[in-house]
Amino acid sequence: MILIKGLHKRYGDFEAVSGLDLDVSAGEVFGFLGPNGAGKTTTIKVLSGLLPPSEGKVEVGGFDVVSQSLQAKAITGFIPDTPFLFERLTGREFLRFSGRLYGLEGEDLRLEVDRQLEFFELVSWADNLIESYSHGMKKRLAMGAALLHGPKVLIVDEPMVGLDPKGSRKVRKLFRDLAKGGMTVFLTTHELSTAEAVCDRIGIVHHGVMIALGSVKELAEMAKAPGSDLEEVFLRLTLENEGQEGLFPRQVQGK
Amino acid sequence: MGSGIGFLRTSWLLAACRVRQTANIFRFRGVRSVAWALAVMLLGAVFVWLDHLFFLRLIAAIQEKLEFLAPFMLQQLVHTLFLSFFGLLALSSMSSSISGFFMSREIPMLVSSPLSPTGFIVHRFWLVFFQSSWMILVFGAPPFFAYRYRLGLEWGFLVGWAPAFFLLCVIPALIGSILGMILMRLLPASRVSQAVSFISLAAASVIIILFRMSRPERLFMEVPEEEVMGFVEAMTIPESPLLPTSWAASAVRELTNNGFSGPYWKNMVFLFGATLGLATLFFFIFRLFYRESLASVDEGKTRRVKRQISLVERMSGSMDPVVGSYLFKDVLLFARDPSRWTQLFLLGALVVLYVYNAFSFPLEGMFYRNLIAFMNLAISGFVLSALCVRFVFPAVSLEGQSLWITLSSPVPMKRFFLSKYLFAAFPLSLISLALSMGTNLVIGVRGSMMVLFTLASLAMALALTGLSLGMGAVYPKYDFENEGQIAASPGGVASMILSLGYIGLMVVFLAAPVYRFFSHRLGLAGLARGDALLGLTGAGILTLAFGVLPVLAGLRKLGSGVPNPGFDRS
Repeated sequence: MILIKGLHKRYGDFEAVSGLDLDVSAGEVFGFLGPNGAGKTTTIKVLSGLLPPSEGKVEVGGFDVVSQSLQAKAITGFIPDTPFLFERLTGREFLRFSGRLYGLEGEDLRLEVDRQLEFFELVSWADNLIESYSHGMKKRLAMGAALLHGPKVLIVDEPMVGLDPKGSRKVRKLFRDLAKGGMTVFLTTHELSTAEAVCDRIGIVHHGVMIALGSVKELAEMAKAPGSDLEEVFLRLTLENEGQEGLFPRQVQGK
Repeated sequence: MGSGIGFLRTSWLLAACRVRQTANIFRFRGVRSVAWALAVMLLGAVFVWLDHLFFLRLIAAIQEKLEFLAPFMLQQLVHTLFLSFFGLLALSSMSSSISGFFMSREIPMLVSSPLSPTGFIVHRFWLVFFQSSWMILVFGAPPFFAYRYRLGLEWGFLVGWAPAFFLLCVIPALIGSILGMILMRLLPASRVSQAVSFISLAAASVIIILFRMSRPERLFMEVPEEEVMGFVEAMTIPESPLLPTSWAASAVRELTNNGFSGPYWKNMVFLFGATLGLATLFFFIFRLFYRESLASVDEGKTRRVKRQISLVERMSGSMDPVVGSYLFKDVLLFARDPSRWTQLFLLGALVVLYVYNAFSFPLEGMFYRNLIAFMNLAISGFVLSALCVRFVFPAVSLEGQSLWITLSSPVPMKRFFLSKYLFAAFPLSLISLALSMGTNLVIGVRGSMMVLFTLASLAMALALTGLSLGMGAVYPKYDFENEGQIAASPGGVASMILSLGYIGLMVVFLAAPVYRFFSHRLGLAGLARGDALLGLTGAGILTLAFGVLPVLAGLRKLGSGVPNPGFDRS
């Protein structure tokens, strides 16, 4: 459902992503992890159509994100880390606006807006201006907007930031349920417990290069730390990739 | 706010931080920003020079035309200037103080730091002061340089004038800050800035209209003897011994007539005393109200909006979904942001003055009427250029950090642009037609010239909309605290320059058909029909080029993605 081949993204002289390869299947929850500045958000920007790649091929649902960007966007839902919304719209107005951008109209739109407001527990705030929402409420509203049109791929940057424990639990369950229904969920997070709990596979990116890819168990084996939790595995893999004792030299790609 | 760091250290730290931020702009943005700053300074210097020249001319005219009344009229001029500065500063300081003390993004960090409260107040006040008064400090000084020169006064005049002028600027800044602090305490925070921008712009509109209706052009006319008393009465500014403007005007009068005399020092003591007293009052009110008012900024944000499928949404529902959605959103955001729609007061005042000026022209004969109509085309083009830079250029930047919504949705950029274009082009075309057709009807232009000028003004509105919209996408400014900063950005200035260039070229191209028309009507040998057609074709091609090419450039720029539209790089 998501196919990345030889992706490079450069900002001037700085290469944020260097030759990334990745294939994520339908119905899979994929965790994209890495230290700060590793290239996660840049990759997400390319996937969601916010930035064109400098080099390489990226497809979502079989659509090239550059040459068929509208088709790719039409089957994608995107939730950024910090969702800046139109502060002087109400939550309901914002959802209606978002739905219409994806072609929803009339009764379908009304029902879907109500459904998302209810699911994300925003009904009592639906007619308040977004400027009065807390960070977590804005995040939930952005999630509702991303799911309105029933996307085949959901791209989420730091899903748990701003959510309370109840909200976090609900979102984790939501991701698993969506995947069961066939949706592909591509998420980045610094909360390794979340990644461990919801992801089928995890890719660890460092300095723009995928240094490890697999299930938590497979990653633990790669890090020669069987039985360890993901935090321990992540630290070992990324520290080793700094170059001192490299189990995984910098240019090694994940499979 | 604790008292961990003393007043001097707090002041030094905050000032140093501000200087460092400014220096870093040049340090990290390189040679281009230095060149840009120099260009802006040069442009500013030209305007200061023009300001000086204007007042030299005005004072000379008063001296020549009014002779024995001239000293009285010059005093009235000084008083009028002081009164205008005072009023403008009091209004703008009120809004700047609310922004500087409550809304600025750095306030939470500063307030949670152990800074000296006095240092914090002093630092923020000077920021507010310079933000609201820099333009008056820069452009308010040349009239007095011209005054000194025309009256042949010593340079010492300026030494005495400068502190009076400075204190006269500080006093309204203190009054505005005090009023802002009180309003924030009394009213819900979300309503205060709306109320202030409403009051400021409504007052500014009234001041502009009253100023024009006072017919200042009479200063340049001969006054018949029998009308002297009426003229003096009409020109006398109301004065009160309790007003700082009267103290400052008296100080300048004393300096002019008697140098540094006793009455001069008396008025200076009044000004200084008032400054000190207001500063103490401001400090007291700040300590009393600030904490609770600041807390209300967040608490006051909750606003419930009546749930309804509004007329706007129903209307936009019949359009293309994408274009309709953006129009719906933009109309709602415009209506809910008083800082934007209250500017329509100024616009209304401008249109009223425009038509009033046309009424005031003593025009006789077809030639003069059409000549003025032709000039009117250029002037209304300049007005449109200014409006476009202020309202249309920011259209893409205003999407700001929410641009990710558009870029990640299956929205063709062309339709996004179309919605922005329609949102701006419709009202601008109406304004352009009102300025052009309204004025032409008033001055009696009819027939083919009326058709030509109407079509030209419509074409200019459509082209300038495209130009500003495209330039706004090519040179966006996503990081801003108010919309005015977007228009004042380098891209905004470039857009303004291009707009003025377009208007100038349009005037050149349209001169040919207009000249042919005159020649024909006056029975003279003029340009051939081909030349006139060439001019019209040139104007058409120019309109297409200026209206379309920037939009295409903007589409390409947005198509290449925006590095930071709505979330941080990590």
